[in-house]
Amino acid sequence: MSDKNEIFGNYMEMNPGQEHMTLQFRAALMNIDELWESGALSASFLSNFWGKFFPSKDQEGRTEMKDAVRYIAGELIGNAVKFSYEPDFLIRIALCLSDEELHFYVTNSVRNEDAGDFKNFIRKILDNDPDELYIEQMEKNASEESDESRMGFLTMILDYGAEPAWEFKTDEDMGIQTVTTMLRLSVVRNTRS
Amino acid sequence: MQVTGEKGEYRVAYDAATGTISCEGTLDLRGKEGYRPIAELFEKVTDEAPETITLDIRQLEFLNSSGITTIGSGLIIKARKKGASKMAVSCSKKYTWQERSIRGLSKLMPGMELKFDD
Repeated sequence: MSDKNEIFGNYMEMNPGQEHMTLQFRAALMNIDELWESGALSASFLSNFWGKFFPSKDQEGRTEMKDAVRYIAGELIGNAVKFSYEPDFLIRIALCLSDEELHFYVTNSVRNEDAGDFKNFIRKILDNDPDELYIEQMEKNASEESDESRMGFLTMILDYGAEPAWEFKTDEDMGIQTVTTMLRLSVVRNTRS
Repeated sequence: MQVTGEKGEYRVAYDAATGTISCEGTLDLRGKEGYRPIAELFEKVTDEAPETITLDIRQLEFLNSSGITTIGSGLIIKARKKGASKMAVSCSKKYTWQERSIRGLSKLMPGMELKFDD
């Protein structure tokens, strides 16, 4: 049903032949606080795991990588937990390593009414200068009481040089809309001693 | 004046004598609601308006985007708008996120002083 899929940004399908790790969990098992805590634990776990792919001699590269994975995985899982609405749909986070990039894939269910807002926000991110959006959004947060800070993607782009893309589709089995957020992070591995 | 996490995962404390807000531990709270007590502490500090507000994050291991937003909009922009205090931030290179995240935050208040420990 590819005609129902909607892609934003430079989305690449996950290549299961690459080195990867996937975590899946059902939102229904926990309350929001527990989900939040387990999301943070998952991000820490993934960060430690992927840090091992860096030679121990390259401590600096390893620390940078671990910190970046912890931040990005934490933000993406946090978003997935926040926007998931179908308790039985498995939230999935997968990290995939290629030579020079780490690819994050996070899939969650999304309400139709939230999807519209989200797509507008995605278009805004893709069509505008993230530096300007960062300042604009911070100023907005300082003067308005809103629940959404909308700073997660902007900080991932600006502070970590990460490139986001999205795929919206319909899960035929469950008849619900899902979104997969993909994030590409450049990695530099100093494999020489 | 201080705020601590239920499980001791973080501590944010204000020392009025030096105008210093120290943040320690891991700040990974959920959204604006999670950061409300910290935002309230920031608001009291900007109201008190010491000559210089120093934000010391050298012992802050981790900060999520909601925390970055709380510091940016709830402290730096508030202090800039009030116009009564200068701002300085003490950072550490030990935690790599600090150098990355502080660049954006420093744009919110021209003239903000950044200090880095190795």
